[in-house]
Amino acid sequence: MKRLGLIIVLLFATVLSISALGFADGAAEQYSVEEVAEIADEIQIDKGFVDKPKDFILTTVSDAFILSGTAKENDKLTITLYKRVGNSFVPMGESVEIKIGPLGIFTKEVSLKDEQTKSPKETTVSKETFVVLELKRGDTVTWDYRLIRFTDDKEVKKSLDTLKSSALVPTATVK
Amino acid sequence: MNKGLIQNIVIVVLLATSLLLISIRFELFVASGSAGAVTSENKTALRYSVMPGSITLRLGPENAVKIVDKSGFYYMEISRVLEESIGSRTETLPITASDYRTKKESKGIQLNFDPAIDHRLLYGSLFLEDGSLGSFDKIKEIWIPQGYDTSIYLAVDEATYYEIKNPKLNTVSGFGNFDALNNKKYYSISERFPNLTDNDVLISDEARLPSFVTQAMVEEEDIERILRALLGSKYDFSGRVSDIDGSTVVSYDYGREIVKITPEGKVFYYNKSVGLQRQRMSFTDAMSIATELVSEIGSEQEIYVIEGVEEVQDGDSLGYRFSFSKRIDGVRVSLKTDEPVIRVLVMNGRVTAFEGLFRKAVVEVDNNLSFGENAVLLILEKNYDYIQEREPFGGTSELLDNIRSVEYAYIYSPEYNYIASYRMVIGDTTFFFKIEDAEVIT
Repeated sequence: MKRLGLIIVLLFATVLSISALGFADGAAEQYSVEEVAEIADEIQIDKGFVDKPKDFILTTVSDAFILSGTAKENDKLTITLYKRVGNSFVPMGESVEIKIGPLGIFTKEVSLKDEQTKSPKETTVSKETFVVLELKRGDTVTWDYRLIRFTDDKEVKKSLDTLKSSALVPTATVK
Repeated sequence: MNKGLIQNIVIVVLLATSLLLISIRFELFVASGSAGAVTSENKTALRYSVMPGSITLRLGPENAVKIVDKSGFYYMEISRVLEESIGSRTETLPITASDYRTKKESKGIQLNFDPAIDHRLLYGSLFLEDGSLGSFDKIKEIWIPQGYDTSIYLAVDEATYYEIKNPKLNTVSGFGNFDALNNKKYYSISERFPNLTDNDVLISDEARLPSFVTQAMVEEEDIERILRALLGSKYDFSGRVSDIDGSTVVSYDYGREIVKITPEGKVFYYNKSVGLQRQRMSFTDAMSIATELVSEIGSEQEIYVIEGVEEVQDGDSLGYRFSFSKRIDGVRVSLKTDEPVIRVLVMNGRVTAFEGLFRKAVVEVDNNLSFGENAVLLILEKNYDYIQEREPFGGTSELLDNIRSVEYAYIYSPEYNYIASYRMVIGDTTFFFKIEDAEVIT
């Protein structure tokens, strides 16, 4: 009888731990750099619901980017941004919820600006932003992810100048 | 004095007087200004008479802004380049849709004409000789590269594109600074949904356009300006009465010329005597006459643009009926049927008939932007069934493919106020949706 009880307890514990594992993919309080790297390794872009950005990593010189994709009518989409602080990605601003309409598509211009102080309003642009998208369809939940890297266009110019000065990039000669 | 000499003098004076009266009666001598010759005074008005519905700067892939050209200043800069480039055209070549699309991947300026513009109007506004750019009548888009490509490209309809070759660079001065004007960024539908469509029509997230309460131009000074523009000095010899509905009716020469101005600001004019004298008139002259009249009737700050022209044959006389629409801060005003509200018929160097609605904006009404973000998508979703009924589509992808144009527009309400709207052409149907609440305007 004791053995049967132990089996039942163990079974219950197993089911609980499987469910917990299933939800572990969802939006977390924060992500470590290692966790994001693991997601980058495992993500199957063509099986996700985000169409744009097309690749997992997007490098941009703009302080905003376009997020879009396909879903089904009445799905609920939650978009959460995480900015990189040291070796972690911590939440940046509030999550955004979108209810999918009859077209079954969504699109949003997402700002990479991070509000530092409200008054006076000061913002910085997050250099590395992890985007977690949670899609609820009835009882089913699926996730998709993107990593956005912001590069200041001044830094790009500076890098190009460095390349030019190191003669790796041929420059035109004016006589 | 010799009696015979006095009689001769009287006869000569009577003859001269009768000839003068006959010439006035039948308007045998037409002043050069009214005949519509393009003078330096009305050259500017003529240049302003044709304008695109929108000007887009494309600075590379996924980097487009639409210029808010409130006063027409930016188009004036661009039109000077167009004048030089089209004026020095060497040949017109058909190109494929794919080539046209590739050309638009570089830096350049895109002019959209919606409704498509008759190419004679473009020629006329740029003071070029009457002539043809190619074997087509209308132009819906012009692409002006801002690089080393000296050609200009035209989209005539969904499947017909041309390259206008010319030896000059199409550099628009200040182009590099245009994008720093804090204009709202636009994205093509295909940039938004690359897996669903390759449609390159531009949309923006934000819908921000005020509506306006208007009033008719029926103050005494407005009425006098309108009457003098239509009748000239003949107004002083005309009879003026007030109709029972509050309209002002002015008649000259026993009703040969009649003007009616209603309390709502509708103006009607008819001139029966013009057909009596034939006068040669070029297309540009006719355009100039119509433009001058409309700009005189409208108030100084307003811009009226010619959108269409039809040829009218009356016996031996050939005339042109021009249709004009008003622009408020660069945005087109029309009836909900998409028709412009001003029509001018020019024959024998004179305006024969005229009708138009003239009102001025008096109070600006800020729209509640509760659905401001993703405006275009939300409008499509809110009116999904309505669009499906009128322009059936198989799925989202087909709907996105069929969007031909998305532009701001002002529509006259039943009270003739300006309602801020989105004008969307989907398939062959033009829809208007209110910016305030995304409701369709029926």
